[in-house]
Amino acid sequence: MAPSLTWDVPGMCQREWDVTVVRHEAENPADRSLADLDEPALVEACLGRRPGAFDVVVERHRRKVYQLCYRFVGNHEDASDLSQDVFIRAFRGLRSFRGGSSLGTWLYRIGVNVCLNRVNAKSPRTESIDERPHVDARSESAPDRLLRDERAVRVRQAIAQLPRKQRATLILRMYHEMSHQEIADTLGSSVGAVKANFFHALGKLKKLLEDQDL
Amino acid sequence: MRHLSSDQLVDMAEGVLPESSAAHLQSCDACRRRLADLGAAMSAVAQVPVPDPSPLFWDHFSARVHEAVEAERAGGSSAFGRAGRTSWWRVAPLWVGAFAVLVLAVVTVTRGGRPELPVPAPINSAAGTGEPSPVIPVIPVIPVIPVIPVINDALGQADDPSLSLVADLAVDLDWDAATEAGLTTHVGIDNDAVTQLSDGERRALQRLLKSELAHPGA
Repeated sequence: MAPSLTWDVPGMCQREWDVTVVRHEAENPADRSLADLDEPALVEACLGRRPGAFDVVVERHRRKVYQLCYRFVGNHEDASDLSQDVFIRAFRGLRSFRGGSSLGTWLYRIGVNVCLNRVNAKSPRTESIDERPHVDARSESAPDRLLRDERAVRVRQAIAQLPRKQRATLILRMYHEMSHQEIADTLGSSVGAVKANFFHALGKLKKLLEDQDL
Repeated sequence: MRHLSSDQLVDMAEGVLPESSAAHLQSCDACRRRLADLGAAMSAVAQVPVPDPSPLFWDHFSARVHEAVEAERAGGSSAFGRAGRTSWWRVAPLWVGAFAVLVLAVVTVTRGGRPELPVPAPINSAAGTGEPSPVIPVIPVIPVIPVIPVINDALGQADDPSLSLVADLAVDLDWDAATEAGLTTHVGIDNDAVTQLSDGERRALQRLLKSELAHPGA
């Protein structure tokens, strides 16, 4: 309820004035918990240097970014380093984030660029079954799990042998469900080129897997 | 016979284009085989999961990113802008430099005004040859005042330890830092100085200019 103040004004005919003070209580994002903030408010909080705001961004997107990086490099150690690199680059460039796409898509784009640069500089080392991180496969029998893991390692190794653009196209299309147009935008090519890359990637992968079976 | 293009095969493998829409597929074994290969490869790829790291990994990861981001902030290399984040110790040398310049100016002025300026040699070398002298427009010679000797002289003769301290502190003040602090001149500063004069000062300046211009050789 708005408070009301009353006082005498000397020398005035009207002896009393009623003054109503209205306190505007529009919601201020700074007062809300960081975890409750929606994306634009969270970005605003980061730009406003609110403590812990960027930690929330990391917490919300770290799994997806890690998975993207893992798909590219095929091992936990490099995926972890690359994911960290993605977030640091995002922190540096957050001011340039215009909100035209979601923060997740923007982070993806950074992730793809970081991974492609790394893939260019260093041939990926896919880890063996023994090196693999924790996999929750309680519903599977041990032999089934072993077979599945072996197959996964072979496919990862085959993907790692694909040329850079074919690999990127395959990963983004198959694992991250990006449209051909989104992939074209991310990789800076045309939809036709993306489809051709995808087609050749799958063909080459099939051949590599068959060769491994021999 | 025209086979299906890679675009069409990809669209069919992804279910965007129904197989029934391509009559060619019914009669072409090669295209059917290529489509089946695409489907098999997609199926093999789709079954590969990303192994989930240890649950402890995520906290460790977040902490690492947090540390790296804090280091970025401390290093001032992020895109969050530098304005408003300059620490006092970063601008301290600038203030010391400004103070040094002020002290030196005061010392120079109170020690007897300007130094002796070299008298420019006569421009008209035809004098004494008996020929009429051509009229040569006289360009005022702007004397170059040797600043460093004046400063050294002021410091040396004043023999004031506080001045030496100030000079030492200002040694590392480079031009960029001084410019950033607004200690250097800029284009039009002389105009600004004249327009900011009071009436009395302007009249005094007028008198000085007139007397200098009336001086022979000016």
